[in-house]
Amino acid sequence: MATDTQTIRLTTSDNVEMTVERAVAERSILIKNLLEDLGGEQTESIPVPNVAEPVMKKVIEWCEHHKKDPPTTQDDDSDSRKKSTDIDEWDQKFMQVDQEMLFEIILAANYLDIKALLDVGCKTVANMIKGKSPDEIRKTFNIQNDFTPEEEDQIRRENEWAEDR
Amino acid sequence: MILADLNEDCLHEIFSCFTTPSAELFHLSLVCRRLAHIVHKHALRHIDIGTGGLLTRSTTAQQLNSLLETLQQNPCLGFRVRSTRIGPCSDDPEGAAQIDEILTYMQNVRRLEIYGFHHGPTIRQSLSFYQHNSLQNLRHATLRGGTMGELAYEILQRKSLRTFTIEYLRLGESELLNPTRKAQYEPLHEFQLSEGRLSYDWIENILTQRPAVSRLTLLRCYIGPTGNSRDGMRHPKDPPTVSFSSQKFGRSLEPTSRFLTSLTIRDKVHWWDGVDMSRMDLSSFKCLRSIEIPGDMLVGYEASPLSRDCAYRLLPRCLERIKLNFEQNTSVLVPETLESAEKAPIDRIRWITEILDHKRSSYPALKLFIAQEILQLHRRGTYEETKQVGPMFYWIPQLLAQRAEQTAVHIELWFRSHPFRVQS
Repeated sequence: MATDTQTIRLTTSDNVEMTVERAVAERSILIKNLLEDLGGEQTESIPVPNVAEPVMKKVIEWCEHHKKDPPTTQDDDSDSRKKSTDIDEWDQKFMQVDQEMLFEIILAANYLDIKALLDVGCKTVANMIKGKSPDEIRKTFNIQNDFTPEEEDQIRRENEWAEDR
Repeated sequence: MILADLNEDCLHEIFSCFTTPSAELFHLSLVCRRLAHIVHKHALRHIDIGTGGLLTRSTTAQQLNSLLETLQQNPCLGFRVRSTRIGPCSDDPEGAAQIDEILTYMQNVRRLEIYGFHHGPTIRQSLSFYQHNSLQNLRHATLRGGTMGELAYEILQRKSLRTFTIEYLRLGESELLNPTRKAQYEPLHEFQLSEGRLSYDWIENILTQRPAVSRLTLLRCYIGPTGNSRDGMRHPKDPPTVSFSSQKFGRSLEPTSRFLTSLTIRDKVHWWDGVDMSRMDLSSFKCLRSIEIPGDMLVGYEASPLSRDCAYRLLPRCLERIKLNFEQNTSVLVPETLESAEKAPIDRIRWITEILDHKRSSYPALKLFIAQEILQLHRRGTYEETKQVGPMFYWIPQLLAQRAEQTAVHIELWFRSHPFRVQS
């Protein structure tokens, strides 16, 4: 029978084994489903091949803090998704990491199916984009402009109707 | 790793944080080819067109022109529009014609909201999109404000329509229920009505005259005052103008009995105490799991000749959740006099214990029973409970606790604080 203190082991992509409280790890729908499929007490370590140890540590830190949060409901209707970039104060501090780590957390949250963490990561990036011009976005995220002038002109024309909204 | 290296799923998640249209999405589309390719799918996800007002910012003539030109040059972009909101433009015939043309490109709109049009014939003339093949995939429609009865009728023809919400609308009933057209009605899965002037008669007409309601899965009606005063609004103290029958209304719901899973009826016109002598019978509904109805459709008041016994016979077999809303100062649980308060409290709640006792044989899935007093129902169907609410009757929990435990039904009783309450 699963108890609050039951632990499981995870092996990250860089072959580091981590021991995690089961309730914490089950914030990940991927791991939760896996544990349910395996049934009973899990003695073997679960491989997490897409996430390296430093990222996994951050993910677990977030899961520990949010382990008592109510489970998020799966809502396929994207129109009803909350269109807000408000982030909880603790989450804001948690996301104060370099861009590399931020994107790694987003990828890990997507892979591990932790919707709430994915939302926080995406909102953090969205906040970094807000109010910036295309040039400023390129500078912030170190992106090269690969448009020809004609292509850029075409996009401007296509989006003119949405300007100043 | 940089932003553009994120996989498409993650980039979509990030871009969905922005409303459409937005300057951010526009700017992102100018950053690099990869982002432009992904942003493109978001930029036209929702289009908001209107001449301003409370709900939206104005769309300028230049923006309308630009949007129309974009769609003319690249018609497949219109297919990406999934949701649109259209505000009034009646004072600008040219703008209305442009909107009409823009809508013809939107072949894949799933969600449509139209608000603030006050002239039925004008809107029919200016917004003739429903005559084209556009909106053939329309799933959810909302009409808000104005006079759009004819448009409501047109929207009701959409085969794909699943939910239809009408708020603050003056419906042209004769237009909506034109019997010569009823053969064209198509399945409608959810129907929400919330407007101060809806009447039970109107709902009955819709249900009986529109054969396609047989596939309805959700029915949510917020009934407002009806009557014969000049403005159509009846004072609560006026006598009922029509003789209402819960049983007859229940029968009008029968065409939906095969598929309806959720029924919500909230009203503020329940003043027919002593007039309606019948109860609503939902026992024939095959998969009705959730019911919220005015309590006196099922249970008689203290002074009412209407029975409160055997309510369990009127409930559907699949029932999981039932909520009964009683009018303010109902005597269904609260005694009218101190004397009667002290007499036979068990009798007063017998109709509840009966419902619980028949769970196993009649509706084994029942999990939740709520009965509450409503102070006021607002136009949009939200309501205020009595100010001093609380599970006030200490003797009731005692009497019901054991039954609730035995039957595994969660019970909530929310009634006013009453000076005659019996302390345990």
